[in-house]
Amino acid sequence: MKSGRSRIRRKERCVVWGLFSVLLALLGLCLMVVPANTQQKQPIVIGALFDGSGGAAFYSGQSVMGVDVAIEEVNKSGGIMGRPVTFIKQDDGNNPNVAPIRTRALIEGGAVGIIMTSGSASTLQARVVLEEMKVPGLNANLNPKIVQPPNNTYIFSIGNDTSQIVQALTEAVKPYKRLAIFTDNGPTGMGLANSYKDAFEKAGVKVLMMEAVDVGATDATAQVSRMKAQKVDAVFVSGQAAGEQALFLRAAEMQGFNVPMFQDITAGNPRYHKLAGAAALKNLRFISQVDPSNPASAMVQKLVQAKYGPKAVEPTLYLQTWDEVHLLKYAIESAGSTDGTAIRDALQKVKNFKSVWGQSGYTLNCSKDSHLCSSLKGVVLRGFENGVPGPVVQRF
Amino acid sequence: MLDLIPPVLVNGCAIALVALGFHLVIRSTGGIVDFAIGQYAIIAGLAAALISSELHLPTIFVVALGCLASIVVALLDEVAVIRPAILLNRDPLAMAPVLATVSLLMVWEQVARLVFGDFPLRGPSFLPGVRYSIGEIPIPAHSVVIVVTTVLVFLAVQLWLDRTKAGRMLRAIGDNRLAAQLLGFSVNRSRALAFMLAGATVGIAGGLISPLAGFGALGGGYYTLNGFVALFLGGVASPAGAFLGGIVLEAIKIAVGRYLGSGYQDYLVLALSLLVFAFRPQGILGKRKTRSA
Repeated sequence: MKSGRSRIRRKERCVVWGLFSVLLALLGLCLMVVPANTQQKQPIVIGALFDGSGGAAFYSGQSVMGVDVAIEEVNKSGGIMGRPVTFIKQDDGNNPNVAPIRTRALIEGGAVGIIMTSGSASTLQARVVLEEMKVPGLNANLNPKIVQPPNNTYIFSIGNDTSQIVQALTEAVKPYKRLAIFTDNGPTGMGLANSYKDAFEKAGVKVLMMEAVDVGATDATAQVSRMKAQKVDAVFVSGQAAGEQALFLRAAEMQGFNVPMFQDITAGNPRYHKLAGAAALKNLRFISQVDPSNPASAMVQKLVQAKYGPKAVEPTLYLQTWDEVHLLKYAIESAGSTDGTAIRDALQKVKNFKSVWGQSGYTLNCSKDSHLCSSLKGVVLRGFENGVPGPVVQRF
Repeated sequence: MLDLIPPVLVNGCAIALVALGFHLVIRSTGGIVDFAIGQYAIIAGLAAALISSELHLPTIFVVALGCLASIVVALLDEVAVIRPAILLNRDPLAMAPVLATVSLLMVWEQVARLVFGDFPLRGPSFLPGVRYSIGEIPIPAHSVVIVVTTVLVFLAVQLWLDRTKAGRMLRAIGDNRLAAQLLGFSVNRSRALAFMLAGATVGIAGGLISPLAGFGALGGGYYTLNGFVALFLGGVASPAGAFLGGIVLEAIKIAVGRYLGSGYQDYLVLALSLLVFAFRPQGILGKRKTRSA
């Protein structure tokens, strides 16, 4: 009897242990499966280095709008590889010495790609950190040094750099024989003006004179008067200070100095048009990365303006950062991974990526040998009509 | 050559008004140079531009409101920073109050950035579009307003200093603060009044010049530097020195820019300043102090 009972108990014990083992196995399986699912739903982080307090704050602020709206749209359409996208940003105050620290903070915050919207000097300094941490950075700065060797394996530039802008401007000013350059005399303004001067002269365009005003100056009569006396037949308005550029245009208008004037992409800003006034803009032609006939530009402009209203005033900047976010999405999905090197490799293979700025149908193309993904098709020359940008006057 | 006279007068007047602000502060403090003064002009100009674009008031009210903003900022500086700095540093040669004004310049620059944004703004003109001409030289009506207003402001300040009790008290404090205190003068009240007046004169400059130049939030340094050089060039001792200094400084700058090229402007202005400091520190109109035996 006893042996029969003990046999039954042993059987019961076996069943209990068996059930317990199955339960443990199921629990183990769950523990293995749950993190995998959680990881799949973990957000992908995109970072932005921006300038919230320094000299590039206005431009950087416009660029960040494009990143913000682009990430919202990416999330609405299912994120990247089914994972939501989170946006983090760090302010370097346009200080190149602070930029590496802030970039490192972004990467430590999980950023798998960084949109660089601060000044070009900041991007150059942050490059060291991007190289060390193997995280790609995208920017639209004008400075070609950013993507030049050595040590540029992780930075991509999608905007037209000065060499392309100069190429377009050179085409535009070629017919003129007595060209003058006007600039502000701040270090960035002078540096930019000198680089334009060198490039023009290299292309065979003679620069007769270069005139500058102090940053903060209240008058440019002497500069205009000097140009008139030298019988200048066209002026390239260079520099970085919008106030001083507008000051020159107004002084020229006041003195009846009616020669064609050319300016780079900085003249596309609506606030600049208000600052200069309609009368002062009548002789100005400028390089624009927004072609009014491109429907993709109009579509993104609507989205950004819907979110930011009248604060969104510089389409070129936010259109380009929109593209940068979408390029990152494309590269991550092509690589099938958030590993920085894999994303970098995928970015290097980008071909015919449809851009939302530039001439209609304009595409971006990157390669291992060139991280400058833009081309001359990204720009047009536009004039002004009644104080606002008018139709395209020259395509390149 | 003649075409340079209107810009010399217009810009010279603006810088002279800033120099007058320096003069009043130096008088009231017994020698402290307020390096934040240039930013008062920027705040007045930006406030005028913003108020004009938001409220569409007549230009005279807009300039007055910009000026009011500048007066408030100047008074705040005096009450919250300069006065305690002077009290804590009784040595008249102490650098702390002067360094405090340098910090104030930076603080107000950042405040202006936050309030008015990063992009330059342009205030409204008096009689926009109205232009006179002398021969082929165009003269906008607004330029005439600047020159006339400046002359009136200088006359009013000179009269106030000479004919009113408060003005004479300020002059006495400037000559000898300790003696004035012993005589029972309210040094603090006089200094606050002088700062408010400085805020007003510099604010008028900002409100009047912003339609011509367009102001960026970080532009105060330009007006501080030029106003300071103009005052020492003309002579610190009187408002007339500030006026003359402003006109002479701008005449040199514009003539150098026109005939030698803009690259020489700053170098020659700085060289001239050095020469003045070295050989005529009392300025063009100042009298050399003779050392008593």
